Amino acid sequence: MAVCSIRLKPAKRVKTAKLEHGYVYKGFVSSLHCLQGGLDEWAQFTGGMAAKRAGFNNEKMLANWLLRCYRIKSMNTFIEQLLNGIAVGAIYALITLGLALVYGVLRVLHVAHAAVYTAGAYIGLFAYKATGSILIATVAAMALCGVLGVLMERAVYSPLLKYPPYVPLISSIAMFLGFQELFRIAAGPYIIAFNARLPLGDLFIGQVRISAPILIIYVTSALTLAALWLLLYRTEIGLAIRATSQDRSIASTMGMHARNLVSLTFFIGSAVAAIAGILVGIHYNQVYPTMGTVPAYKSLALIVVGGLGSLPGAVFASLLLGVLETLLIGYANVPLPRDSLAFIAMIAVLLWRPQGLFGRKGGR
Amino acid sequence: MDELILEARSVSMHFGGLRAVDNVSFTMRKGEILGLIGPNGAGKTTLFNVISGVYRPTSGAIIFDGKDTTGFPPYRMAELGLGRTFQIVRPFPDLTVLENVMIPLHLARFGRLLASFSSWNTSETRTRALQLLEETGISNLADKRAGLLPLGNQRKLELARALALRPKLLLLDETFSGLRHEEIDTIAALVRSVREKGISILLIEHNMKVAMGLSDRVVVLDHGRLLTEGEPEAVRRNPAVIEAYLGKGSMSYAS
Amino acid sequence: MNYLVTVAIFIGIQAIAANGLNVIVGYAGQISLGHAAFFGIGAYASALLTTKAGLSFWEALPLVLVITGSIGLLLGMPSLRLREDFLAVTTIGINFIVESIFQYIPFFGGALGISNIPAVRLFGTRLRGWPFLGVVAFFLALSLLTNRKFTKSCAGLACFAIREEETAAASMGVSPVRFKLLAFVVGTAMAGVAGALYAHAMRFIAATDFGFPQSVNFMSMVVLGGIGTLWGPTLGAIILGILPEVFRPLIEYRMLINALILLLMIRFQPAGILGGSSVLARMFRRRPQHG
Repeated sequence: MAVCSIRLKPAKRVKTAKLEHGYVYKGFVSSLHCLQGGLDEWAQFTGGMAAKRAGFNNEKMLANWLLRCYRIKSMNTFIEQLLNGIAVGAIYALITLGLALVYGVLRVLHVAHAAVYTAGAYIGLFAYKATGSILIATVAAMALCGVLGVLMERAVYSPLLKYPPYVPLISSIAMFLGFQELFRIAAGPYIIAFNARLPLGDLFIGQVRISAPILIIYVTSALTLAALWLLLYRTEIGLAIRATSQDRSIASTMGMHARNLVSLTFFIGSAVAAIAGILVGIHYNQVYPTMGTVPAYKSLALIVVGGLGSLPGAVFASLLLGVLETLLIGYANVPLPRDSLAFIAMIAVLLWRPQGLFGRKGGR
Repeated sequence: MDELILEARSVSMHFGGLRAVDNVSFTMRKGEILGLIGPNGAGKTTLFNVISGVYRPTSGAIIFDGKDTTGFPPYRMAELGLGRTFQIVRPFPDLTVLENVMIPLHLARFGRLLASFSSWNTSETRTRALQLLEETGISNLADKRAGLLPLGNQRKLELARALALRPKLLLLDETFSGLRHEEIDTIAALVRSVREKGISILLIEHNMKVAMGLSDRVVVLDHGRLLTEGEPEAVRRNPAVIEAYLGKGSMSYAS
Repeated sequence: MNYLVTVAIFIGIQAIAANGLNVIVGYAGQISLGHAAFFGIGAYASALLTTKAGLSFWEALPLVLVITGSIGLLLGMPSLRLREDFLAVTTIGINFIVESIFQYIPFFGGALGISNIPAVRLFGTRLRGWPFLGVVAFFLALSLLTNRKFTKSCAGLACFAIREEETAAASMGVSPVRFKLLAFVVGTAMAGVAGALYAHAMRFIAATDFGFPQSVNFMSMVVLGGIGTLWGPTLGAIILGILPEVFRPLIEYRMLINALILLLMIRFQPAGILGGSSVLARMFRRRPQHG
């Protein structure tokens, strides 16, 4: 009798569960609960059936055991997505950090930073194809992009500082668009695959799978951020850079050429952007001329959210956005256009704190 | 009470933990020249900013010409008859001197939407502006770009602009600092002539000689608090005042 | 010939929008990198009013002005609280968000946009080609007149004062809030009119027409011709409109050339072509760094 009742009822319930919560949903919004609920139902049903077939007396125990398995499985997916999100955020952080550094010393919204990032990807790609070593490719890209950044600063930004702020901003946009076209003309509008051979394999922690590219991202960004932190917070030059961010005239009193300091900051920021470009190229296996468009706007929104010129703010906002984008839109399928989330978040933050999360009130 | 052009009641201005102005109260009669003095950092400019509406005081009230104007924004204060000059001169640099003065002449029109659509470059505006320039002694510079003027003339321009508002009360923020002796005398004479017209004047000044010489009464601030007030002679001899200045070692007591 | 008329029509429409941007950026000194959003709001408003509500272009026009102007008022509020750089990024964000709204909300036609927008009729006859160019020219003249009147008015004077020295302006009775918002309303309303004309010229609009690149386009026109000058934006629109035609054989390099021109212009002559000569352009010149 008990067996019959288990057999009949779950059958009906699963059918409706499949349609309501199910694996094929027509509606836009699916929440974690729904997915979870669906998995629960399925586990109950299969648990019961299997138990009956296997002659278990305690179908409930088996059902519960299977339930736990499914829960863990969906939990695993969640963790994987979370780690993905952090990786995405780490890349954003590398790009945004360069932007924040530059803004700090020059007060210019360096939209063309994304062009440097794209250049890094291309240089890295061609250097890798030429030498077969990712390390050499990265170093080459860092050096060349650093120089590119300094060129932009010396040739375009610094002479324009005496004008209202939108003048350097427009010049930055012009450079960005121009470089995109240059990439398109020089390397073709098509997506080029990086096809990097990585020295690592996938890593498994328990049931969670961390793919090799993601691992590389973690390692590289962690090293880069650590190096930057050391540079900025433990060296004299770093101190000078941070001081200049607060007040440009301080640099000269510290015995450093303000001009050179600014150029150095550009070099560093651009080199870091190059790293980000290569990482993205490897991870998504794509290099194409307009790959900088989305990061350009997102990083703008991110430095605003973090508080213009605030370095910890830039990193924090980037990580947060990476996680939010991946979880909200990738995992839970909230119906927002993925790339607008940055701006929506920015407006939300500005309504609450007009100076950004870590920004200083009133001061420039 | 009808006689008072300005009254500060227990005005405090705190910036976080910093008490820039701490419980300051004073009154000012119509037609008098009141000097606001004190060592560096005493809170004088902050007090000015509170009176003119740049800051809203943390506590206390400002009564201007009988009306409670606490927290009113600067443009409203201008409409009510408050004019001010700035410690760091702020001319409209790329306009001519004449155009600089023409702008405040349209005060009445800025406040009303429909009126603001009327033309600004009328001959009567130009005439009136020229008049003001003559009164302040810079009519010969009418067509020069304001940003290029030397400091003394820029101070006169600030004065002319403030006068264009037909103010009842004029706030002068360190109008004499950085000027040569002859310029100081000229502008001091200007200030006196402004008072002759019935305009009350509240001035901040570091130059003791000028401040004491011009003011009918003097108010002394120190560390944001009111130290004392009274006639210049009495204040000058007040030991607390002397100590406040010499103790800081910052100001030359008599220049 | 017909082709030239079409090009002229588009140049005219863009000039109108650029004139609107000039009011915001040139006269009031506020940054707006999201101008295309208002261009789009005007276009969609007119398109929807004529297709779904059955109004004629002329009947819809006052509504388009009101709608675009009010949204401009609303979205101009950030300029009151935010400093320049924050404002720049916010206007970019507004552009993206408005574009997304057009793209994803079905009411606006989603990815397919709105099609079958009726042509403009005057006394019953459909206006195409030369007559439509006449309509565009009419509105262009109107926008130029508005700008001219604005610079001569006390409202315009107030905007200039705010732009040059906001603190001093405030102490002279100029309410920054009121006049910044006024500039936004006027500027965005102009963009709305341009958008409406665009919708009826193209007969079909989609969200992608109104994204950030279009905002950059408008900004380029204003910068090229001369920020804050009367004829500058129109000149800029003409140059940037003719360029692709002139460089037709070099169509591969067209965007690069555009970017290069913009870069060279802003780097070496930020006041634009007409800058440095007209009275208002004088106001553009080196602004002292504060703080």
